[in-house]
Amino acid sequence: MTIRRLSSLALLLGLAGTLALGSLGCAGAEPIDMDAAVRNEAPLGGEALVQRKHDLERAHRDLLHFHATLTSLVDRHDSRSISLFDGFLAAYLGEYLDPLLRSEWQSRHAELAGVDASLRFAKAELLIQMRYPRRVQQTIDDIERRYKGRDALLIEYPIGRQGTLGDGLEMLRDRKWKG
Amino acid sequence: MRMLGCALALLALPGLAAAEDPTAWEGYLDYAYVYSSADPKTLKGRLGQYGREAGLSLEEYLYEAYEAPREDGEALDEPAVRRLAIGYFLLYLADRDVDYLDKSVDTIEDFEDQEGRHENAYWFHYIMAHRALEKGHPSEFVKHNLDLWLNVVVPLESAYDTLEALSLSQSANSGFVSALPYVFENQARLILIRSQEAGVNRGLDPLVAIVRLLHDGRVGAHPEVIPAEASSLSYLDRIIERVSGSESDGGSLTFTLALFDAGRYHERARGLLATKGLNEETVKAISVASGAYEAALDRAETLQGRAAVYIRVLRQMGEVYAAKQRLGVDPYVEMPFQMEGAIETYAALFDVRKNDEWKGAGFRSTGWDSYVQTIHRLWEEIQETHLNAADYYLARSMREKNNADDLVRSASRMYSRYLSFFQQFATSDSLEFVPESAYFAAYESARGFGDSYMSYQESNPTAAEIDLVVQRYLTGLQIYPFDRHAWSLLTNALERKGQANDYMNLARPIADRVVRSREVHKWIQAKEPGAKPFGAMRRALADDLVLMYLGFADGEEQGVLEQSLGDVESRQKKLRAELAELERKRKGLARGGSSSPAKAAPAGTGRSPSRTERTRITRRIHKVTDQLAKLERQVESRQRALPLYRATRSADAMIDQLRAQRDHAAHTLLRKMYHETRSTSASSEEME
Repeated sequence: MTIRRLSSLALLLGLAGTLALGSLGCAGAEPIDMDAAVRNEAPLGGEALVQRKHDLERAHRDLLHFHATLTSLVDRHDSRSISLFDGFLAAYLGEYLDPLLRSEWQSRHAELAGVDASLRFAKAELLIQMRYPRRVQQTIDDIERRYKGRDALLIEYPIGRQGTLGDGLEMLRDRKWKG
Repeated sequence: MRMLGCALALLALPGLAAAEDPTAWEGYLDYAYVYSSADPKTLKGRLGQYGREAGLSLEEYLYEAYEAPREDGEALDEPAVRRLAIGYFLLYLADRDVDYLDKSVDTIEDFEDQEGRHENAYWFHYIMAHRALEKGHPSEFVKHNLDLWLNVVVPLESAYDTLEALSLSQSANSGFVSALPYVFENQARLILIRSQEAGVNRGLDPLVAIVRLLHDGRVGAHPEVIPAEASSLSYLDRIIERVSGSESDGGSLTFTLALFDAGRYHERARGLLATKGLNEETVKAISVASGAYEAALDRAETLQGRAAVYIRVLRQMGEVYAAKQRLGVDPYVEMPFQMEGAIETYAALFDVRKNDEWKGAGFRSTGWDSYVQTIHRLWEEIQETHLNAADYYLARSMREKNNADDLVRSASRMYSRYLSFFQQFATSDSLEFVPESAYFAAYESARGFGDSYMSYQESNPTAAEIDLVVQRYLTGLQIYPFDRHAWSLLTNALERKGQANDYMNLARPIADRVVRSREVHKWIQAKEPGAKPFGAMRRALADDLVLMYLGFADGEEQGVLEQSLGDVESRQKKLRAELAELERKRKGLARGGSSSPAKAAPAGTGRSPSRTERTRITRRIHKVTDQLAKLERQVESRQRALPLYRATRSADAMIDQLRAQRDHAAHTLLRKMYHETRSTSASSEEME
């Protein structure tokens, strides 16, 4: 919900260059269903593009921290903490990350494609750990569709290393059930 | 931790009244996120100051502005509900009076199901998290912190970046977005400090994610808003370093905070030990630190965590032993740890070295090097604690003559246990898991065991004890043959058994191994540290006479051996003179029948006197010649051996160096020699 508002804010900044400061952070307006609009939004430019890249990079870093935390909880067999953290992650992915990854153009944009793809792989890795093979498969399908013919794209996967998108997809398919 | 200095920033905030004005409280409450992390005393002072500026106290204001209208049936609007909740919450933080917290919770619960306004969500989760702490409910505390991140931080971050890019992030019109740096700071303090003050020390582990996020470009990233010195960044740095480092428990925040806490108590005890010795206060502080370490051990789920605790606990035990020895006092110090626990932890860590099992022991994120580093550090603490404890018992045995024998046995048990530990794990296929200093420590233990019975025990050692002493001295020499005094200690022990004659049979094989060692040769050739003294010892051990000197002449005063050489040389000179005289006499007899006509042979012997005399002289010449040859051999060998023996004194300093510097390069040579000897022995056995 909130990200939709922020996306529209960024849109405003990019296209009109104006900012309604009074509405920032207060979010008093009713949520607007902008799924389709966001999916099909035109590429951003200028400050808004920089901000989107920053958001994607930050989300990627955050996902790596979540991955490290979940790995630690699993290693320590801390089922109560895993349950609490799972709930948080599910909400984070659903309310924040998925909307951030929704638009199509950022997967095609030369400046964003690498971080966009890396973020999708990090999400898939997290879903593997959370034991959601169906959602992992959806993520794989989405990556295949968006990045068709771009297997050589350099991404940050597996976690902590770099590799090509094609190799990453193979690893994901192999790891899908290994959570 | 010190309070936020950011409360000062409040003074610079616009729109707050300077003259008496009750409505000024509205501003103070709206910006409470700036100063709510202050410690109770500072916060109380701050609220008092605001009360004086506003002309009425916060409690009075809350009643007049909100409670009284409510009693009159008026409904409070959203800002009023929030301010009332914040007001009670501040009173709770200043006085830690739970009644205020309850009132705050009752008020803020209006926002429980409300979506939208981030400011309300922030205060709702922040206040509820405090209530969870007060009730000792870690899960609830974790939940509110995670929700705070999800419902407040995540939605505001992008907007804050946008405003910051436009230099509007601290604009009065930017609303609660501008609070984000304070939200970071407050949440960091809530998780890391307030939770510990409230004694919530379990179930915090999901929050390590938030702590990592706060550390990643958030806390301390806005120095223009919160100055670096007022930020909790340095504390956060240390926590992250611990939680991500080798002293972690597989990344557990709960454990890290517990160990950090114990470390602070340990530091305090150290300070007291240094300034006040082992007085009552210090002993109590040591016990408190031990208790905190015990709590940390209780939190540890992985071997990594257990090792981290034992490393620190053993260090503390070593400090106590050293202090008791140094100060000559022996108060009872409660330390609920046993060295067996540390050895068991080492064994368990050793067992997971293969097939990536070590990763599951807590080292998945820190890696193999961290695993090896931990296993080395634990070993080193085990070895130092054993040596310190043994020293302590021996020092006590000197003071307490009546208990001396018992104390000596306690010391020897320490040495024996370390040797058993060493022999169990210092195998040729596990070199990587044993620190290099372990070998010298094994020599120290072996020699220490022998010295305990030979030098400290009041009563005579039993035959069985002497047998063990001999074995230990031999073990010590096998590990470190460069201790020239140890050879004579071996002969002393053998003498007690009446077997001093066995010395060469026992010593020669050990000396030969040094002489033939390729590792020692390479070390000396490469002029590695200690090459000179080790070279001197090697040359000495190659010579039987020097080996004898090492075994039997070590106690002689300096110069005695040189004196004995002088005696031999003097005897040699006398014999040479006698020989020359004899030769002269014999020649005289050959020329004139007798060199001394006055001395004629007695009649009736059947031999002429000159012939008899010549025969006697000839025999004497043969005898003196033999004696001279023997003396010349003695002189020659002593002239060769004495400088070699004297040169061995240069090795004495190496012992102190290796004891003081556990990272001295020469420890590497000892490790190589030890395993070279064992592999040679193994090869010989295989050939047989």
